[in-house]
Amino acid sequence: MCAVVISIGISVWGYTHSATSMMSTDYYEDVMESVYRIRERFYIESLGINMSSAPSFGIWIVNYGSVNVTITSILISGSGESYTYSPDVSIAPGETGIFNVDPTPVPLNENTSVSIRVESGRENRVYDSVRIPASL
Amino acid sequence: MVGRTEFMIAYAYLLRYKRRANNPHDKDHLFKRRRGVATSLGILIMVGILITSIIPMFLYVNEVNNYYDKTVVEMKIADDERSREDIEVYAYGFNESAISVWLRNKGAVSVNITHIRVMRADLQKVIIFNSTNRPDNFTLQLSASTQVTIKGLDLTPVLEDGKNKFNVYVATDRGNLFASETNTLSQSENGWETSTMEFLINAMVHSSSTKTFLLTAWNATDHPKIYITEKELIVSALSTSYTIINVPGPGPYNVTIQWWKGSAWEDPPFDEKSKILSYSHPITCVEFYYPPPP
Repeated sequence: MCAVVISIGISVWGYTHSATSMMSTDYYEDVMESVYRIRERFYIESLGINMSSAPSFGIWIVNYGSVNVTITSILISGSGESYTYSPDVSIAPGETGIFNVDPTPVPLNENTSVSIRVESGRENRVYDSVRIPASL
Repeated sequence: MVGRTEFMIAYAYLLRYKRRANNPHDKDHLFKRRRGVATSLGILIMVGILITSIIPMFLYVNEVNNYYDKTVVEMKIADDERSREDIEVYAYGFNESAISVWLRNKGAVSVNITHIRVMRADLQKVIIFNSTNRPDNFTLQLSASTQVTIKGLDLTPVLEDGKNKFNVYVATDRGNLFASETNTLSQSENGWETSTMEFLINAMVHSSSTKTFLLTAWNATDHPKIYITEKELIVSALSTSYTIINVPGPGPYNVTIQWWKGSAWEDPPFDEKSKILSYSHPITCVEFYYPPPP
């Protein structure tokens, strides 16, 4: 009887230990993912237009948070058209990422508004818009 | 010799033992001591599991939760500090190719200025002044209610004949961007000016049916009114569209609206609005409804 209790007990002990370790690790990873999502901070500092060749947008994105930001999607829309650019580029804390979206199907009509939506790998989003100046 | 009495007692014990041994309901007592050892072992193992696995897991989860809560509080504080940043920015001419920027911290928190961004108004050129090209100025810390002037920001690399209008922005390390009060700053023969600001009329048109409209801006200073510009606008049924009408400067303006009848514009216009633009109110909005309300 003692042998049976010892063998079953040790098995249960080992299983419980590995299960709780695994649950703790999973929980830690989930929470840390949420923590990184909360700590992530970035904004669109500026939008520029490059008219040197084919019209393109220059988008400056600043990471002012404390964790790396991976920009996964930049959606540009205006005049009924939209275009999604997927750079998948990481920006370190305190750094500025410059993204040239070229070419873009969104027409640069004077006095029209162009909206920008930037999304990170942690699904945080920032928005901005710019009015295309009359004197391009 | 064993006496009769002793024999009887021994015999009675033997009978009792046999009876209890043969009784299936009374066998447990024979093994009570050995089964107690197994139970004790089982309890010990359960306590071991509790101490080495379950309790540490709860302590760990609690610690992780505390870290999460701490992060939430930290970020709330950071966002609050960010919203409390307030800087007054004035950009003005330094010489024919450079500007100066005067900064005053109006907020309650100290700010770190990371860079100054000068963007040409046509959005095609930008120059950034930061610790790389102006190590003496950046990162600049401004305590509450203090001010500083950064002189001689050279814009030569972005100057271009006929396009020298700039917007100046100041960025902080908390992620704020403050625009200069003097935007748009333009370079002219007389130096740097701020008088070339844009005057705009945002026109919104609500229509119950799909129609093409003509919006015309008139300068209302003189009689008869002087034509300035016009814009066509297509509006879908039961929707609203808007357009921006650029006007040359401050003053009273009239905006008229006509719709395309298939061969010509409706005449006279079915509605007209009056607006006055000034340097302190350079942008205004007019709203039209088709059909016009009775």
